[in-house]
Amino acid sequence: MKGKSSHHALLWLLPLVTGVLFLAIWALVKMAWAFPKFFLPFPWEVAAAGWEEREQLLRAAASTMSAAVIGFLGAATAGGAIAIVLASSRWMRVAFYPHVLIVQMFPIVVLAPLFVLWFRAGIHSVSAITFAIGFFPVVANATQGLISTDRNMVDLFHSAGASFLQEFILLRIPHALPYYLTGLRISASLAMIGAITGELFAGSAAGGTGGLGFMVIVYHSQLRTAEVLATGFVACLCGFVFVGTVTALNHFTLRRWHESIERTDV
Amino acid sequence: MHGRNGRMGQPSDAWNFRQGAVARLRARGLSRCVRSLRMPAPPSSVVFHEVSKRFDYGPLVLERITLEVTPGAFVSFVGPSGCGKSTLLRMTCALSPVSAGRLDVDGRAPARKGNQLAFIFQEATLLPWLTVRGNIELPLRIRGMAPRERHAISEEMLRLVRLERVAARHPRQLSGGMKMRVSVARALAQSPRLLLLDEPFGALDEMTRHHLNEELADMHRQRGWTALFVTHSVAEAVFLSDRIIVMSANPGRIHADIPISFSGDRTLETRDTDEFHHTVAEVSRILRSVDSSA
Amino acid sequence: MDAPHREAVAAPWQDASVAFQTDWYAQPEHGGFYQALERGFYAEEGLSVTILPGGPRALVLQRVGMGQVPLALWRSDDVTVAVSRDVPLWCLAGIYQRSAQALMFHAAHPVTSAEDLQGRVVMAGAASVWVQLIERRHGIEIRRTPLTFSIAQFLEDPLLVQQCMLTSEPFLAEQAGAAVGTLMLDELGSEPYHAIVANREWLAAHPGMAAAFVRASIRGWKDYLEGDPSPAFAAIARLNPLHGEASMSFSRQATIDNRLVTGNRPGERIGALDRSRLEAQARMLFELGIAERRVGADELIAPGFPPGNR
Repeated sequence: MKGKSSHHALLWLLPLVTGVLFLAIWALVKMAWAFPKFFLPFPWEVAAAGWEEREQLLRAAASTMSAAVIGFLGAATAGGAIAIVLASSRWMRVAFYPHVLIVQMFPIVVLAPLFVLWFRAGIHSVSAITFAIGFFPVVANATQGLISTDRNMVDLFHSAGASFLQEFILLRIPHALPYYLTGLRISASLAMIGAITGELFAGSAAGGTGGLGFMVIVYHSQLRTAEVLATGFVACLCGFVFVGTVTALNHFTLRRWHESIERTDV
Repeated sequence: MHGRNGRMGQPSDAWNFRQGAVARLRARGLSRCVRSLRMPAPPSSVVFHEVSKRFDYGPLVLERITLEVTPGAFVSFVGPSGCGKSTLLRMTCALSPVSAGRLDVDGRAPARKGNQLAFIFQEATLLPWLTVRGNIELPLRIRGMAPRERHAISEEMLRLVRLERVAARHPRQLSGGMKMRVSVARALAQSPRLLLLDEPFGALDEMTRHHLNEELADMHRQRGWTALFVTHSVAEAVFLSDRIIVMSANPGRIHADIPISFSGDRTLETRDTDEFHHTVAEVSRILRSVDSSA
Repeated sequence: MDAPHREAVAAPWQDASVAFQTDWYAQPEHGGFYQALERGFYAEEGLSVTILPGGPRALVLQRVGMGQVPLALWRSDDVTVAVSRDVPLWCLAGIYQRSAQALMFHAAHPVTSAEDLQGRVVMAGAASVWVQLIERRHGIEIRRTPLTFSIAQFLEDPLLVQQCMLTSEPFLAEQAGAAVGTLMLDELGSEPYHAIVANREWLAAHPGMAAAFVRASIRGWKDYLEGDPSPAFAAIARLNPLHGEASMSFSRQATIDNRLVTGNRPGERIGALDRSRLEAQARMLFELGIAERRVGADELIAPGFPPGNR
């Protein structure tokens, strides 16, 4: 009993200790080099700046998160759909996969301003940019899952006389689920970055609803570096929430049967 | 060539016994019990006539295999790697096409849909997202059986392989032996007339393997399906079979066709008998001669 | 490349090299500096000057503040905000007495006053302070859309108003066949200088070099605007192939016609910095909450600068 509780305590304590250590080093570096505030603020100055700006930052975070969610959901659905098309036959893959790769390789810094030109600025452009950044991991992983079904399982289905649809729905899709969820996790971790990058190009601030990316530009222009860092940490937090949600989804969907989830029973 | 009971082309004793039981039950107006007996249909006949197999313009994998399998017989195939044993099985259930010759299952060409056979693979090949029961019911679901009927059958199968208590578990919670038993249950749930087994027990430890051999022999006695069994273990082949086909490789041909019979039922004790050891030695010798001649 | 520059004359400072960071890619709006460089005015003052072009993400004031580069060209309103945050900067001279920043609109939907902007969609950079300045000063609300540094969207949308440089985008728009008009931002109350900015520590250590640089720069500007600008044009075209003869000539002419560098009010001339004007701007920035505190002219204008002032 005692061993177990101290084990639990360590899970919290250890990262806390290293975190404090890191902040201390940060403060020491600043003092040792005597950096001015606009170059490197103290950790508590960052916290104070974040607190002062909390209203702005919360609104900006909500805006960015909305765009990130929309882009992510788009990537999740379209990515899954594209994967199903690609997985349906080898010739489909030969025909379409190279083009998927081209879209993936196309530099986002070229694509983003084009989206703004075509779709005008606003949340839809930011979402489109988020989608462009996040769809490929979903496609790649889901396709892999759909085509990597165990040969014997396919044979099992064939020997029982399963139709193509039965094989797809009863075998390939459940088999691909862990792969798809892995793709979603990767895409989720890119979603915030995608949204903020999108905002650098397409963030509109009609009435002060620019997202976190927009805030970064504004703060930088006013040399408010503490606020810039605070914005970064807020973005970080949003990212954790995002990825955490998708990971939880992953966990709950797979926990009963997938070997990737640690077993606490037998 | 002799069937288990020395009669060719005739149903086994097991089947005959059940026919009689059905007649008696029907006479007493208890046809409901007939359904619950799950009357097996008569076992399949399998005939290979000059069957050859070539993959995609490659070399011959099987050359002019001619073989007639008595309904209800348990036939094992042994031989070196690459002799096409697995391919024979796959052709029998239309997973692989025949390149030349004629292969008949119950007088008809092999088919994927509407067949009455079941395949047991090298690995248990259980779907990890389904429970044990779900896995057993899977082929029935594919073949379009209603849920209630499926449930009744899976109940019976779980009892048969003694896995009632883990019906709701998922495959990752099972041991290797248990998974194999589920795989067997899944196959038998389909009431097959023909059972195809491709080295099903290869990955298991010896004790488990012997136990499962015994259970399989027992089930065969009760249900009487025809079995085509591929294995690397001569002892296992000898234990289970009425007939052992020894094959040679490059290309695959039938090297020897050995009838096997023992006095009495095959149990764990059978493995200790001199008769058993002698037979195993004989077959092994024949198998070795294949290796050296290849 | 070094042919037009004459050798630096023997001068009292150890290291004659000076880096000067401009606020954008090489463009005719920096013409005077390139003229000074190409015609050897810096060399005659004993300086070996390197002009560093800027860009959209270059954090110029941060770099000057940290001393990574000693001199830069930047807007005085941003410098005021920086100084209010204790960034060690000085303004040395006002090169542009009037900022070339303007609003460009389609002639069919003109903007002649701040009130005309109410409810219009305006394309302005995210870092633009003037939006808040004008909104507050005139009590209006502007619908901001991000600046894309291209006129493509402007050409498509007849109602769009785009932040631009008077000397550049209108020319491009007219070339593309649009009839446009402009409204200078200083007519709406945003009146920053584009000034030569210095790092305080560097200035304290090299006052002579700073004065020399300002003198030579002013001389270069005069020569660029009154004389033959081809040395500057050649240098700019080398660095930035986007600029052709036509666009650069237009820019220079617009600068002359609108008296952007020389100023159009009494007392204005190249290099001047008016104390009351800077203080008025500083007060406005503080009241808007953009600057941390009210900054006085003594905190903005380096002592002894502009050279030959008042």
